Amino acid sequence: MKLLFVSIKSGLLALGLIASCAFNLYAQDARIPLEQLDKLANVAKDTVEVSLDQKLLTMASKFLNANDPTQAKIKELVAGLQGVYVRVFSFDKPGEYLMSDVEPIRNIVKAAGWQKIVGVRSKRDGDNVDVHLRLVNDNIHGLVIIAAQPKELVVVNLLGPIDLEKLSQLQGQFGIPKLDLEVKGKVRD
Amino acid sequence: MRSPYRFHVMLIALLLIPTPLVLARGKGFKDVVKHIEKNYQAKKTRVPMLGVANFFVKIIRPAGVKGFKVAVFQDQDFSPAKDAIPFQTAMREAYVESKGWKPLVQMNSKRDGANNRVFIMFKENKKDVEVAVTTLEDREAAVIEVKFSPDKMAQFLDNPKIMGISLGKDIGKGNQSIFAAGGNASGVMTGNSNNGSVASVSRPKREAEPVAPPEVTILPDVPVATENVAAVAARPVLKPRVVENADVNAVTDATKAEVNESNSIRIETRLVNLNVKAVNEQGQPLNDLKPEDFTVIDDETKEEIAHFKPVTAPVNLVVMLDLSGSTKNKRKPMIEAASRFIDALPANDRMAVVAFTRRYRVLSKLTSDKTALKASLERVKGIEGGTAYYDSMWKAFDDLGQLAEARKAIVVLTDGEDESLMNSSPTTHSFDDLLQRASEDDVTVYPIYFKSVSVTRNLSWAFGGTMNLGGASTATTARKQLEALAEQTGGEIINAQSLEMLAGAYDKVARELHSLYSLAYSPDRVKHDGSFRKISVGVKRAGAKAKTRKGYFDK
Repeated sequence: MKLLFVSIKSGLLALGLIASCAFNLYAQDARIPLEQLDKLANVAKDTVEVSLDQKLLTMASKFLNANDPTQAKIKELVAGLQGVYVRVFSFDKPGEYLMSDVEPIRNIVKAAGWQKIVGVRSKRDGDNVDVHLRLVNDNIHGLVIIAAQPKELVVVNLLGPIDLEKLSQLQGQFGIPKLDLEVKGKVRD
Repeated sequence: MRSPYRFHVMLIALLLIPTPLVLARGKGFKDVVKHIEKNYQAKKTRVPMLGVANFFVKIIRPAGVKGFKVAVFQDQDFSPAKDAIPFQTAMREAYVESKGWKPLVQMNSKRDGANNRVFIMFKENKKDVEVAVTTLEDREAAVIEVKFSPDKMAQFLDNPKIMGISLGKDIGKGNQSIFAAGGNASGVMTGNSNNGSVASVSRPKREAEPVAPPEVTILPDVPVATENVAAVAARPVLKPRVVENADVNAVTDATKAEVNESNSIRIETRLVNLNVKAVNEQGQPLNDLKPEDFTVIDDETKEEIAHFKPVTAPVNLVVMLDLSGSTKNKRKPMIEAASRFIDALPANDRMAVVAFTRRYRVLSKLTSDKTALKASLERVKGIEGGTAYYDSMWKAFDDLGQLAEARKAIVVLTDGEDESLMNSSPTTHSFDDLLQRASEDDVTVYPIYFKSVSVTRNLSWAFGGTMNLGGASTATTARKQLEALAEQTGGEIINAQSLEMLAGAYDKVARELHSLYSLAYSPDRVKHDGSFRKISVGVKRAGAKAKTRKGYFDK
């Protein structure tokens, strides 16, 4: 009997571990190879690269003050995240980067398992900002924001579950630039 | 003939050759400092009391910091040599992933011919973490490594105390005004009088003031705006509105009158002041233009120019100096450059000198006395602190708003990094507030972008800024904000990323200030609906262009 109990307990633990690993693996599926954009650093006037994995996020969230309502919200939002990866390229003149430079990233988020979402747009740049979700069984496992303006390219890759309604709160935090994102009405297609 | 020892010699050589390479890798701080010393022939700048500070930190462990290493290189050439190992490669070799280091932030900026690089690496070490920050600019570099306990640091941030002493924030406290208390601020003047003169002057509604009541008053000769209707109407002042029962004789060409239902006369005047720079096709300033050479379009309506001042007319100027910790070692060249600037301005220009940290300090009231102005610059030597840039700029707008004259400008020497950008420090006015304010006031802003590496800044980055991690783009955001403010007001951002560039930057501002015409007009269709009205100024000469502020809010 004791042996059976130990076996069940071990089995449950193993299942939990597998489920947890599976979620992490799915989240890692949402990781975009942003290094593909690094060649743009040669022509860009300013380049910013931020890489925060889960451990760093956990540590960073310790410095957010839970008594401050704004920071508390960010802390809550970050709690489930498994990674934040950002690339920002600013250019002197329009035309210094081509849409084909961003195409490898766009191709990834056009593939199965990804969904472009409506309802989240930039007040500032309107149609130039695309938001794509990585969905597994209708659960969000990651997100990619591509903001392609004539003189600036911003790509943000978030890993892990994220509440879209709270997405705008992450702007200006963790190296994510302010894109004036707003969530309106229905979010997904 | 082959030597029997050849194989052994080669083997020993092979074993020995890689040794220095292997040893040269992965030592973090040491390797980066060595790389800088070797590749740029740079020498470390001595930081006084560093050993004592390190000892203090190891004993007291303030904010959970258990130790730090700092190397600063100043006034040396860090522009990348063609054959040098790329710094990024050097960083990766120094902070190798196999030893637990992870890249956190990398920034690279090539603005204005500079090449500024920032690298932040991170490592977990049991319960502690280590953060390495390396910054390289054209003339300066800093390498910092800090080891701290994140839990203790978080506690400190929640309740900032060292050895039981609370470290409160004093942003916005004890500020001063360069002008007399009272009077109006930014130009909305309302009056109500039976004899036609303005009885009272009030400020437009604004949010709570960021500062304590003014402690310093301006020179007695500064006109504060308590004046009669004729004076108001005759001078170009932003949005003067004089209402009800005013003396009809006081109405000038810049006023519009109507009879209201109670048969009293309502007189409404709204003058929009513009500081305008005109250039020819080659970008050279045009300094001989007359009013008839300009066209002004206000929201698609052509306006008649009511007042005009040539480029030679005197300017009222506030010179602001950012005295945050990053400029501590640069006070002497700052004083010299500002002193040259004072000399370069025409004798009838009036200037006030203001230093700001978390406080707004008036070093000299508005005056054309160049000796007094230069003497006031000496006072910057003892000042140091944080950066309440937005609130200080707001205060300068307030101060200049008390002047009824047109031709007002702010020249601000700063990196624009308000503390709220770095670590969410409270600020009374946000940048958006400031930008809107700038669109309402007729003050042209010339930011001199003076950005340099400093130990304190990088430490604060590593402690507070990195934890927010919005700090990754702080410098970029600050620079963009300075550009936006200059553009909004018709001014220009001027780069001074090294001490050598500083004097040249001030010279440029002096030239710019006296390439400005002042125009004023009374818009035809005033709605007071709060909408933004775009302004466009043209010059009736082939290939010529004019630059002025983008518009104003119709309130």
